[in-house]
Amino acid sequence: MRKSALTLAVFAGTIASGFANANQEVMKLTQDSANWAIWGGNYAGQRYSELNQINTGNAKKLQVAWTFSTGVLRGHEGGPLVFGDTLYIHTPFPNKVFSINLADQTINWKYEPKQNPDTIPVMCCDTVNRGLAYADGKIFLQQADTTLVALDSKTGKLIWSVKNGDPKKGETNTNAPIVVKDKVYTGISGGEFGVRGFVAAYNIKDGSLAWKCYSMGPDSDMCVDPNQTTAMGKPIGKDSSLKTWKGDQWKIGGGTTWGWFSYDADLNLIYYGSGNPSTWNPVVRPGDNKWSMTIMARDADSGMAKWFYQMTPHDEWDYDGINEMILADIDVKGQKRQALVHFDRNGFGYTMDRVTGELLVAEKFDPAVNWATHVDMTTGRPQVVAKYSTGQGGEDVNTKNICPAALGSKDQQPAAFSPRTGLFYVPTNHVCMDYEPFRVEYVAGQPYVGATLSMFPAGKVTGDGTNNLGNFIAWDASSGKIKWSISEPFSAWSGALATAGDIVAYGTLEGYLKVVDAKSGKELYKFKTASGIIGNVNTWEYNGKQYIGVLSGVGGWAGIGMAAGLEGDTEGLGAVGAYKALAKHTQLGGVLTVFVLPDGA
Amino acid sequence: MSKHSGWKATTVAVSWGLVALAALVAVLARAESHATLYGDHVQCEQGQTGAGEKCRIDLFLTRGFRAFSQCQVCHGLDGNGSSFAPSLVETLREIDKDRFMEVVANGYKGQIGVMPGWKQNPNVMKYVDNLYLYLLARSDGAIPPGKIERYDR
Ligand code: HEC
Repeated sequence: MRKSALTLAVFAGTIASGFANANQEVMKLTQDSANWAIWGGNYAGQRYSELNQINTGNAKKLQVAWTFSTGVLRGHEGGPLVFGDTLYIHTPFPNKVFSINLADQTINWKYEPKQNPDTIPVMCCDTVNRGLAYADGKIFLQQADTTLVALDSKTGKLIWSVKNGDPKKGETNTNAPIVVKDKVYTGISGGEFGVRGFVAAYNIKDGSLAWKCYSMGPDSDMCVDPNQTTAMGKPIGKDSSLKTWKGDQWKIGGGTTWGWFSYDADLNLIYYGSGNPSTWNPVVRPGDNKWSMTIMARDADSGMAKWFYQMTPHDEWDYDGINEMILADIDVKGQKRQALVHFDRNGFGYTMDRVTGELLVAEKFDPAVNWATHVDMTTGRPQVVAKYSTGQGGEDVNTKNICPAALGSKDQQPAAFSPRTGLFYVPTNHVCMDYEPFRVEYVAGQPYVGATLSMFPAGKVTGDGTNNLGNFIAWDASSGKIKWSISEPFSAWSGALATAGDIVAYGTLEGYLKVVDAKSGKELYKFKTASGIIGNVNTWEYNGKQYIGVLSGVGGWAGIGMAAGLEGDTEGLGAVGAYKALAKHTQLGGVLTVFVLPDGA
Repeated sequence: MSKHSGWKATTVAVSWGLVALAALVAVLARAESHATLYGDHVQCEQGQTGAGEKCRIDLFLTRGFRAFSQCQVCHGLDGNGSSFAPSLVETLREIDKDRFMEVVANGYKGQIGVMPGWKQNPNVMKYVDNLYLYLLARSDGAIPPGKIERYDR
């Protein structure tokens, strides 16, 4: 069943060989498509599987094989890890972990940390968690209260734990850690609390800190070499961050790191993005606010930065740059490239050379995007449109009809890449906003927002008569063009899956698991799960059968943006009033739903 | 009753006209008594259709709206609730000012989750009266969700 196309074999060969020196065990696990051993399916974050038992011909026959309730009501992001005969699944706060025996779906063990409930109120947008990492017989969980724990994968016993931050200062965690060689990497959340973002590497053996590199501040804090670390092909120079902040604002400057990490073993680089600068009021923080909103490539061993690329200098809209970095070797404008593809909150799909950080393509992946006309390919800077600049608009002025809204043309929900079609499959938001910055005082541990927002369907701005809040698109990262697009009534807030069966799967906020044809986007199957889906769709094989699994459990930012524009008719949108709030479609509750083909299908 | 008078509070009571008459009278009375609290901060044009539209507010309520920005991430952008915190528009119909002040200052842990206390946050506490009246006016439907223009500048 795993007969893959020749092109794929060749492709897999090139990527896989390079990975030989990563954590051998994890590398092996991710190379066997029976497993889903890391958040992105592989280190490249492609969310692609060579399994093809479920394919375009038979997907319509899919059935639910089994379900599992997590017993938690908050928003469920991330997805299961599966290898051998075990599935590991996590929950939002209180961050339970279950080890499930695939043979009979019994629970091998359960871990439930005791966390201070004071953590909850300092988590800005629901108490989500994006999942686990595995290596060396250990399951790694990054708890909300910033405790990073290593659990014995066989017994669930706590092996070590380490404090990665301090919730009293507004520091929390939602991200999935990742393991490379002998280290586990994690980030930090709290951009709305003036937290200064960093990535920390802990030794998987005992949890001791190997290094910690900040997103902003003095060169020594950021693990940069002013002469060697580059941006847009040039050395970043001395004090590259300090120069771009007023006074010591960088100390509470945000640039948090709550997204996904990818890794290229050939280059020995890890990739991730940094979030918004605080506060949301741009007027009080003149300068580019480096290195917030930045794609970062760092040496996996030392943390030393190889290159940076700041997508949104001097953010004025809360366009965090934390979305996943997908590593893929693709043709870009006729040339074979070791590319990194990133769909940013700011609405631009970036294709970079992941070796050098050269900017290859930057195009809007939602035509509604209006805050910038384009990205200047020489300087790498977006050309901001004055009337959508909340900074130029100024304090206490409501800047209207900015697209996208603060939750971005896409949030953390990771996209997928199929080497067979060469396309990226991207769950997106189609939401715009009004944004009025105002002055706030900073108090440690207190939210630090500094802008009032309202959000509404992008159709209100484009005037095209549409009122959908999301699209699921197929993207050509070589030309920067949308190949096909499926309109979704709500934001598409679920991580996508692509497989060698030429199917693509994703979830919707109403709770549908949808399977579509990777080439055309034609819907092949849908099933309404227990709750809205903001989790990622993963796949694995057990006892000769391919399974597809997804977490339901509506919540997160998705659940906040939702009410906007959907209640009543006040904006004169007519049909929008016809859409009922999300609550009419779905209710809370974490459930893992696992799909399979019936025998003989 | 005319569909629109200067007082939006009254208008809203009318738009709730589907409810039983007794309830309507009660709501009317309540909204009108509230209107004496925030009425000085709201100006509405006559003859507009739709509850709370074409109303403008002053700096006092604008400050309430700004303080509300600290609540949006949980209670929803329009205050209508999210998947993890209740609708403030509805809650304000159920609790009195004392309870509001107590909850906002000290927070509490309830059936749904944890409501944080704000007593150390000047961005809320300096304007907690403004915030209360802003939300009260919202819950009465006297002003619409989202940004409202100011009349006093
Ligand atoms: C971190 C999330 C969060 C933030 C931010 C937040 N709240 Fe809440 N709030 C909650 C939750 C959760 C509840 C419900 C708690 C329960 O009853 O279980 C709640 C309940 C309330 C209630 C209901 C009290 C009652 O007696 O029914 C009021 C009023 C309230 N919040 C006001 C506010 C105001 C005003 C702000 C902004 C200054 C705010 N909240 C900010 C989470 C939040």
